Amino acid sequence: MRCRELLIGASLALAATGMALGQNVTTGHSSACGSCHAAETIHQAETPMAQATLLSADNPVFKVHPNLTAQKGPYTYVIETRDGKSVYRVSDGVNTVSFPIRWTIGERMQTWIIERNGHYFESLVSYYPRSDRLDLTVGDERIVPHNLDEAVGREITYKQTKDCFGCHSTNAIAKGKLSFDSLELGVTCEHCHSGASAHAFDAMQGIFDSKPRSLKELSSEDINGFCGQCHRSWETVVRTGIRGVPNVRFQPYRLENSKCFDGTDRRLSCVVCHDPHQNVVRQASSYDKVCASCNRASVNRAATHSVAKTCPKTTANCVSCHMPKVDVNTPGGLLTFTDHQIRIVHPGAVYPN
Amino acid sequence: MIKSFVTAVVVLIMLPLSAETGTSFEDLVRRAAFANAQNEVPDAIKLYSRALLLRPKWAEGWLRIGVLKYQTGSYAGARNDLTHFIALTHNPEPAVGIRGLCEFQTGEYAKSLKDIRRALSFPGEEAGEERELLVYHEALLLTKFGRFVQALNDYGTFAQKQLSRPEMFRAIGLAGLRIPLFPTDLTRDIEQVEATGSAIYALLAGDQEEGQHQFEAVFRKFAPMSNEHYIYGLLLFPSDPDAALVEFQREADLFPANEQGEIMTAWALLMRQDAEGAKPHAVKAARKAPHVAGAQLVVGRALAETGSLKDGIGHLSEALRLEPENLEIHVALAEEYSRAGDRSRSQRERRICLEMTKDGRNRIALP
Repeated sequence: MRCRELLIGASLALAATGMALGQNVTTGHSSACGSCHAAETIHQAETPMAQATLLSADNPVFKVHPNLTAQKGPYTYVIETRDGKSVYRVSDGVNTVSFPIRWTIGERMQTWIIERNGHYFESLVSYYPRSDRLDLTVGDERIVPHNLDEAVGREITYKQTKDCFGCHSTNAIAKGKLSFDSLELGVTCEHCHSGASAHAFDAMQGIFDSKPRSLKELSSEDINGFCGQCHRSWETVVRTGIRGVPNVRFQPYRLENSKCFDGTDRRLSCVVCHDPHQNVVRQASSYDKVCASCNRASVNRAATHSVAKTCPKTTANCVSCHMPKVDVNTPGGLLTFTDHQIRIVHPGAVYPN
Repeated sequence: MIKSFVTAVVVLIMLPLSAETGTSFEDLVRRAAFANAQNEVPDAIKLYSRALLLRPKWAEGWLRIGVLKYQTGSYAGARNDLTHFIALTHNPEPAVGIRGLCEFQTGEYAKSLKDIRRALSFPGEEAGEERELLVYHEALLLTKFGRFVQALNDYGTFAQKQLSRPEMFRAIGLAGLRIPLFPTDLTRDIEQVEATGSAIYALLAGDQEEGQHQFEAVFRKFAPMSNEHYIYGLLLFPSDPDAALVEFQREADLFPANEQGEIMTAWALLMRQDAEGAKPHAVKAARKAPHVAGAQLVVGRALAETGSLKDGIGHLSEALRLEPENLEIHVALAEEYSRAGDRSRSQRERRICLEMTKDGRNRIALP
């Protein structure tokens, strides 16, 4: 009964929030879910995933930098923010085109989706937090604009637009179509727990049959595929043929290339190390116990899977050696990723795959 | 290749020339080159033949005479001569492609495809008329042998360069509609096949709007033909998988006996992570066409991903037996072995997939 009262209150507060935004977007139903699932929701809104799509008024980068500029060849790029509204402006010195920024994609490194006459474009410049400035968007370095229109950005197909919003927001796809009416900013409960909203409302009536399927029951292979829907699964990356250091950012792919990965062994999967409801833990030693669940000297007779070798060097800060940091060159400077292909790294060894 | 060789032959005639009647090997070679320069090709062929009788291991001679016979349409003889050259040299590159074209003309299609593919694998110029000729014949042969998607990949290279030949739309239409014929062997529905080929060409060239417009015109003008909606869906799949799914389902509805509609419907649903939705279509496809690797692939994945791992892997193994070089089958096996806890097989399949994709090309997921 207490839970139901909390849910009713939460849903009223949520409706008020939605109306106050003045746009057809909502900030998610985590407040409704939090009535019963407080442990999962309390920090979720602070995670980068929850802020994977931002409105201009909420974008901390725009608050700190109301005027961002970049010069790329003959083209000047300006992102100007006033009264919570941002404009993306491109000039060739003679003419200028400008577009309102509706969608910021990314919480730290940011790119913008520009809509123009029913077509969507990925902005040719992005914001890089390390250099704290605008520079060419990753992947667009080879684009040479021939005119002002091309300088705005790379046109993206309908499918690519769906993919962008499909991963960076929640409920962006309705019946297979892109839907800004149902879109919720960022990755919220419903994104992974399909049916969470319906369950929250049913729960208000005391009905709990419609709860979403439990993701805890997924095998390691399935979890990798699940997270890989956005973080790029093994099969997706294989098909794209992306080789070398650029594929370090596809964690499910790298993890499945690890010798120790076993699709049925739940001691190794994305969620064993990372609670998706919390921020990523940066301290290397915090992962030692996960490594020790497989790599330890004593034999656990209850274990259903084999016990692997123990490292002869140390049993602390395992990931600092066996999951090294890799720098990826981008126009805005180096981006550093943890390589999820667990391995023994020999001095001077080339990056595997 | 042909042009560069002919150029070399022309250079050779810059040697002191005369119509002398010497019979030494060197004399015969010189006289043959002279005859060729004078466009007296039959004489040139006779003289080269005599030179080769004196020196049968003269590799270059076999190449020269083979090229001349190819140019005069004596394909069987040219094939034999080029075979001699290939046997005698460490550098068969100039001859393999021409031999493949000869074999095409003599009806030795399997050998022709093998030689043409080998010639195309040699490093060399990316562009050039000789290469285009080989690619075009490869596409014709792939269609004849039922390897339609590979044929369309070849035609795609022409479309992207805005190159076309008069008979190409018919050839493209045959590949798209999965009709294993050469263009010259098509005797019915020619206009429809060509119209479909033109629509396919537009989509392959990246002109989405024109391609869609042409396909809609074909659907309006002609009675439905098997695989029309299938190929339209296939071409839409990379950019709009939802629209593609509609076309695959239309294909399955119009032509229930055609397994391709069910295979692609199942595949599109599998790519949407909807294995449950894919399963009935996959099972139907496998029942209709158990000998088709694509059908075994979709039913294998659908079963494995809905809890019937052992059955699923069984079907995938059958798919692999039917088409050992199909990347998607290896991808599926890598994942399903992993699901089954068979780490060594899963890792083996992953290694195979990485080896198959080491060229770094971006591939569309197709069964």
